[in-house]
Amino acid sequence: MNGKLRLPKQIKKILTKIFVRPWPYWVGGLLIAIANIIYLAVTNKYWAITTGFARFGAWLLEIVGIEVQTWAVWDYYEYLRPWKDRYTFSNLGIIIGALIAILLAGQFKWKKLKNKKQFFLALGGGWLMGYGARIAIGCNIGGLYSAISSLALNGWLYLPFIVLGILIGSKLLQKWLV
Amino acid sequence: MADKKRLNSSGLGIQRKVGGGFLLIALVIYIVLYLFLPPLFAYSWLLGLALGFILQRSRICFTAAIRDPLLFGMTELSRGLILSLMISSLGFAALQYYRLSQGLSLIGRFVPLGWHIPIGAFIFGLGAAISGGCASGTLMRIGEGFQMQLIVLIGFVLGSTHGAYDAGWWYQLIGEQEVTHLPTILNWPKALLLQLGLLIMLYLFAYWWEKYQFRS
Amino acid sequence: MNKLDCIGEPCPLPLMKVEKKIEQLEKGEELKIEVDHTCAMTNVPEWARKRGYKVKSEEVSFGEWEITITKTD
Repeated sequence: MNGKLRLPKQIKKILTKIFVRPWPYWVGGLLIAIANIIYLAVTNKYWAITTGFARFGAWLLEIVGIEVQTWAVWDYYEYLRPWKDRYTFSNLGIIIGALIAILLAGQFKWKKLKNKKQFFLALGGGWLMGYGARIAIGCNIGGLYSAISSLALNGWLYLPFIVLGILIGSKLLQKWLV
Repeated sequence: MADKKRLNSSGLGIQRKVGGGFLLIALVIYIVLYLFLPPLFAYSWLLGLALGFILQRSRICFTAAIRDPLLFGMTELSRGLILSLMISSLGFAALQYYRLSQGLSLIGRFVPLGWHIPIGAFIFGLGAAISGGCASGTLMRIGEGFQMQLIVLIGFVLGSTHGAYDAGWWYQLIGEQEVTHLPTILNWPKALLLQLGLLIMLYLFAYWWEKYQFRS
Repeated sequence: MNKLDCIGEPCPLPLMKVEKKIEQLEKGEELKIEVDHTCAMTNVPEWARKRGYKVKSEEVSFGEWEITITKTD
């Protein structure tokens, strides 16, 4: 654009389509499915997120001297320190992958918190998600996406109740803020 | 890019260069992980990068996929994700079938049934609606530069740890039904028929729902 | 000029506000919405188009968009 590199119009159009314009949802959906299938084929593991958050939080407590390894929760999934936990790597990857995508689109902006209300909604909403995901053993990814993909009944049981939660949460938000 | 008259093009160039720089660093990290740690970590890093990129580019948000049909009658995103589930189910099923036929273990995400799932899923949904994004959406938006989602992540870690601490009590709700793999409960043809039938029905319903909501 | 400032607001708030505001507008009136949320930047125009309104979207600064909807009912 500053004259150094003049690409043919056709190629420029394609690059804009890939890197600047939002993709159609079905393209994203298709690629997410393919990425997950490849990951399962290569590693025999499925995509999940929040178990990593629980291990990370527990590790922070361990650092300050609290006994966490005896928690009953680790009977269901092993306690791993962050650098031995594959979720740490995939979670950081999502952040960096999205950062790369938005920078290449030239649409990055550091978006500041708007007000105090937003701060408490964010903290409270995050807290609820974390707590709920631990109870249900899975978030929208491990509990829903990967579970339904695995042809697991637990994924189908998860779906109607996350729908109910989101419906009621959205109605509350509308009442408070609009 | 005629519509960006008010944007200076040097700023755009800088963003792209920084983006390219991060891409390079990410690839170097991949190589380092691959060389020095079990390959699982390198693959997980790559999976994360790919999914973060795809989620950002296609604006996919699981919360919105559930919320927008209910609030605004829009189902394009929901249908995109239903399609995604159809394809991933087929892929997962093929891999599971192959492994089982080779005498290998079953792979996938299975959790014994019980009241912990409805209760947890409901609480998770409430939180996702209030904080403007689910687990994948929160991480993706941190990458996009949202300070708010950083706060969500802090809450998320606190809540997860709190939940993990309380989990022993909640897991008393876990029931007897430990086998949740549909093909094991039914059989392969029936399970696939049920799974794809449900997804196709959801897809068609979503399609009709949008038509109905936006009828003029 | 009808304007909505949705800078810094996460989904679904921008679209909720747009929906409410547009109800109050007369036919032919314009509504300008400023957003910096990449989700709202797609779902607000998507919604307006499905309603049959005229939509224009312009990136006014890095990661900030101004969406103009004309109510045409």
